[in-house]
Amino acid sequence: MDAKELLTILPALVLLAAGLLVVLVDMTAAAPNGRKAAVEWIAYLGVIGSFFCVYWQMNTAPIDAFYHSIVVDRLARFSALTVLAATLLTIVLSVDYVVARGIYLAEYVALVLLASAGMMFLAMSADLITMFLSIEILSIAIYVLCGILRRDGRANEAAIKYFVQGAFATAFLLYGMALLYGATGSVHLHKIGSVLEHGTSPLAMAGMGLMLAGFAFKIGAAPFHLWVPDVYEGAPTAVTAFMSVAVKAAAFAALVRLLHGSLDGAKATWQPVVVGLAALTMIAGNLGAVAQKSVKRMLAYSSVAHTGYALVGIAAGGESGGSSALFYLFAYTFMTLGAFAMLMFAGKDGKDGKDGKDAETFDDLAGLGKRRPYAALFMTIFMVSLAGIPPTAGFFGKFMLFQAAVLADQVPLAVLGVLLSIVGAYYYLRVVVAMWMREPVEAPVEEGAPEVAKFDFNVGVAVLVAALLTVAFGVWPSQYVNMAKNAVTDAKALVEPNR
Amino acid sequence: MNEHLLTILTFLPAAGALGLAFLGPKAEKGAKIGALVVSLVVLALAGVAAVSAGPLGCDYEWVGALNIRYAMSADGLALAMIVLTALLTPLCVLASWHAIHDRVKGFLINLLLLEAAVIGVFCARDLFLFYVFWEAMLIPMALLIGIWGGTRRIYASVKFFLYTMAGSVLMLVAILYLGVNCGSFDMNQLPALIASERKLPADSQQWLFLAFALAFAIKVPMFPLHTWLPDAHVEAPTAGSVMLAGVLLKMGAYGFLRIAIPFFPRAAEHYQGLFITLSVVSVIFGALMSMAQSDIKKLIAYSSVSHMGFVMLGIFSFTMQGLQGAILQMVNHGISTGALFLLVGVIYERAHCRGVDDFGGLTKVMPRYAAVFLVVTLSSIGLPGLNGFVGEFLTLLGGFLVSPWAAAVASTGVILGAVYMLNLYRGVFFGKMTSSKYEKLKDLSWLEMAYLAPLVLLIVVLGLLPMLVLHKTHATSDQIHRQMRPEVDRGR
Repeated sequence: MDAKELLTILPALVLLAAGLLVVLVDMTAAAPNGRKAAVEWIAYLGVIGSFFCVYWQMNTAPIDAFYHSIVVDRLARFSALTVLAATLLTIVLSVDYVVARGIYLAEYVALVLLASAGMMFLAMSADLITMFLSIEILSIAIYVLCGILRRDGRANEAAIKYFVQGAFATAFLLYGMALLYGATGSVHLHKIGSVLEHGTSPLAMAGMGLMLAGFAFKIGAAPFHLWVPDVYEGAPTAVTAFMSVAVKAAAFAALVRLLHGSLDGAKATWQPVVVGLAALTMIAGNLGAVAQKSVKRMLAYSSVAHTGYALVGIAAGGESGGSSALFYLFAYTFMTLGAFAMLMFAGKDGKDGKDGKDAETFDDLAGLGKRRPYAALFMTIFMVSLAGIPPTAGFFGKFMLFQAAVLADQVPLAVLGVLLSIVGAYYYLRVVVAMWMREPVEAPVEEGAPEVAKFDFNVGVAVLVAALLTVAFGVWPSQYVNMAKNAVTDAKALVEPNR
Repeated sequence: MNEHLLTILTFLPAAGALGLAFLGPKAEKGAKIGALVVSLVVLALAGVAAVSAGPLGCDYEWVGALNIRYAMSADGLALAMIVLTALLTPLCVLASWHAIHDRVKGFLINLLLLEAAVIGVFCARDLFLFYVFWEAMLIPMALLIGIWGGTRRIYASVKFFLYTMAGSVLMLVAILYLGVNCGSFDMNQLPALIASERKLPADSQQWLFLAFALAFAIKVPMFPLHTWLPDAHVEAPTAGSVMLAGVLLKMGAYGFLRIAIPFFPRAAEHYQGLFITLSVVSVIFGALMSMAQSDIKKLIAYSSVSHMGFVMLGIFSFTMQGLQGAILQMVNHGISTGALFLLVGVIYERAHCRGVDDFGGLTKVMPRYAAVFLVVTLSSIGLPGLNGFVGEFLTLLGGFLVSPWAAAVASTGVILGAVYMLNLYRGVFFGKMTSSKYEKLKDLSWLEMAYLAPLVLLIVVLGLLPMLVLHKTHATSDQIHRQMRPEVDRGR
C-alpha cells in the first residue's frame, strides 16, 4: 500500500475526517452557538468536498486498490453521488430539526457522516470482507440514529427492533459469505465470479441464497420487510428520510456489483429468486400502504414497494436492468427525501420551540393547500413522482425499469409492476386529496405552543431543491441515464478474464 | 417559425401557468386577465398553424440512450383538435370569471396546464412523448374536479384518476414492448416497422392493439367502460366539464385514429365486429340513460356517451365516409356539448339547481338564453343545416356500407337524441314556471354572450361549410382508409 492508494478512497476519507472533526470541534469550542455553526459548516464542507473529489475522479479509468479489496469505478462514483446528495439534503434539513427536538447535534451529524462513509465503501467493495465491514459501519451508525431520541418510547422500540433483527440478518449475510468462500476458495468478487461461471455447486447456491436474504433485509424487500414500517415510523423523521434513501442506494450498488458483475455467469441460478423477491416486494409494499392511516407509515410501506420496483431492474439483469435500478434509486432519493421533509415542514412546534411534532396522519395534512399552497404544491410533485406519473423523475425511472423487464423477456413482471402502480396512485392520491380537497382538521394546540409552526428555513430549502430536481431529472434525464449505464459497464468489467 | 410553432403552442400555456404561480395571493383579477391573454394568444397561434401551408413540427434527440426523441408534428386531424382545444380554453376562462371564487389563481393554473398537456398529446409524434402528455393531463383534471367540483367531488376525482390511469398503464407496457422489439418510439415510422418486422407475431399484435384500445376506449368512453364519465361530468365545475367533454374525450378517439388502428391494422380488422357492436350499444345505451336523467348535467354527460358512439362507429367502419364523419363529429361534439355545458353553468350559477323539472317557462324571463339554448339543442340533435347533421350522417353512412344492421340500430339513436334533448328543452323553457322565484332570473349578460357567440357561430358555419374541416382532414382519413383496404390501393 502506498499513499497513492489512499487517494483513490479520498471521497470517503473526507467524510470520515469531517465526522471526526465534528466531534473534536464540539468538545473544544466554547460558545454553544458557535458550536452549532461550526458543526454545521464542517459537515457541509465535508460533504461538498467529498462531492468534488468524486466529481474530479468521475471519468478516470477504474482503479483497483488495496489488494483487490476496493475498486473505484463509475459504479462506485455514481452511487457515491447519490449517497452524497442524500447526506447533504439530510444534514440541511436536520440541523434545526434535531436541535428543536433536544438531540445533541454533533453526535447526530457525526453519525450521519460515518454512515455515509460506510455506504461509499460498500459501493466500492470488491471483496466479501470489505463488503461486510462497510455494511457494519453503516448499519451500526444507523441503529444509533434510529434511537437517538432517547426519551421517546417509539424511537427506542424502533432502534431495538432494527438492531436485533438487523444483527440476525447480518448473521445470515456473513454465513452466506462464508459458504460462498468455501465453495469458491476466494473472497474476491472477480475470482468468485470466474469460478462460478463454470457451474454452481449446492454450497455456492446456499451461500448466494443466504447473502441475498441478508441484502433483502437491508433494503427492506419482502418477506424481510416487516421491520420497515415500525422502524420508519418510530425513528425521527429526518433519520427515516436518510435511511430510506441512502442505505438503499448503497446496498443496490453492491447488489449490482455482486449479481450483475461477479455472479453474472450464475444468472440462471439467482434470477428466478430475484424475480420472485421483486414481485413479492411490490405486492407487499403496495397493498400494505393502502391500509395505513399514518402518512409516515404509508411512506414506509411505499418505500418497500419502491424497493420492489428497483429489484425489477436487478432481476432483469443486463446493462439496462442494472442502470435502470441505479437511476431509479437516484431519482427516488430526491422524491422520498422531499416527501419526508414535507412531513417535518407541515408539523407543529411544541412548547418553547422544543418537542415539536411532525405531521403524521392524513388529517394533519388536511387543508395544507390553503394554509401553505407552495408547500402543498411541492408535496404534490413528490407524490406525483412517487406514483410514477410524468413529467417527473419517478416516471422516467419506472419507464426504464419496466423497459428493462420487457427487454429481459420478463413481461409479466412489468405488467404486475404497472398494475400495482395503480394501487400506488390510489394512496399517493390520498395525500393530494387531503392537502387540496379537504378542509383542515382542527387539532388541539398544546398550551403555550405557537398556533402556526415557525417557518423552518432549512427544511424549506431542502424541499425546494428536492422538488426542482425531481422535475428536472424527469425532463432532462439523459446525462444521468448515461452515467448509470457507464456504471453498469464498469461493474461488468470486473470479471473479465485478463484480470 | 413552423419548426417551433407546435412547441410554442404546447408550452406557452404551461409557461403562463408558471407565471401565474408567481403572482401574489390577492391578484385574482390579474390572474384572470393573464390566463385570458395567454389562452387567446394560444388560440391565435393555433389559427396560424391551421392555415399555414408548410409542414409543421420538429424532431430532436431527447434521451439518446433509450432512443427517445422529442418529435412534434401536426396533420389535419391533429390541427382540428388543437384548434378546438385552443378555442375552448379561453371560453372556459371567461365562463369561470364570476363562477369561481375560491382559489382563483390555482384554478386558472390547472386549466392552463390541462390545455398544455392536451395540445401536447395531439402534437406528439414519439410514443414516449405522447404518453408523457397523456398522463400529465390527469393531475390538473383531477384537481379541477376535486377542488372546485360539487358535493361528491372527491369521489368523482379519484374515480376519474384511477379509471384513466388503469387504462393507460397497460398502454405503457405496450409502448415498452414496441420500443424494445422495433427499436423505436417514432410514431411516423412504427406502422411500417411493425408491418415489416417478422419478430412481432400476429398474436402479439392483437395483444398490443387491445392494450392501446383499452386506454383509448376508457377515454372515449365506450360502453361498458364509461362509468367514470357521469360522475366526473356532474361533479366538475363548468370549465372542467367543458374541457372534459370538449377535448378529453376526443383524445380517446384520436388515439384510435393515430395509433391503435394505423399501427395494428390487421388486429383492428379482427376486432372490427366487437368495436362496431360496442359503438352501437354506446349510442343506444347513452341515449336511453339520457332519457332517464333528471339532472341536466348528467343528461348531457350520457348524451356524450351516445355521440361518441357515433364517432367510434364511423372510425371502425374503416370507410372514407365513416372516418371523415367521425373526425367531423369529434369537432362538432366538442362545440355543441361544450356549449351545452356552458349553458347549464349559466343557469346553475343563477338558480343553484339544474334539474330538468326544476324550471319551466324560462323563455319569458330569459329570451336570449332560450334562443341560444335552442340553436345548441338543435345542433346536438343533428338538424340539417347545423353542424351536428353532417358528421352524424357520414358516420351512419360509413357504418351502413359495412354493416347495414348496425347503422339501422344506431340511427334510432338519432331519434332518441331528439327525444331527450327536446324533452329537456320543453321542460326548462316551456310550460308553467315551477316557482315564482325564477321570475327575477337575469338573461344572458354581455360576458356570457361573448363566450357563447363563437360556439353558436361555429355551429352555423360548420353546418353550412363542413368542408372547412373535411378538406383539412382528408389526407389523414385517406391514409387510414388505404391501410385498412389494401385492395383500394391496388385498384388505382
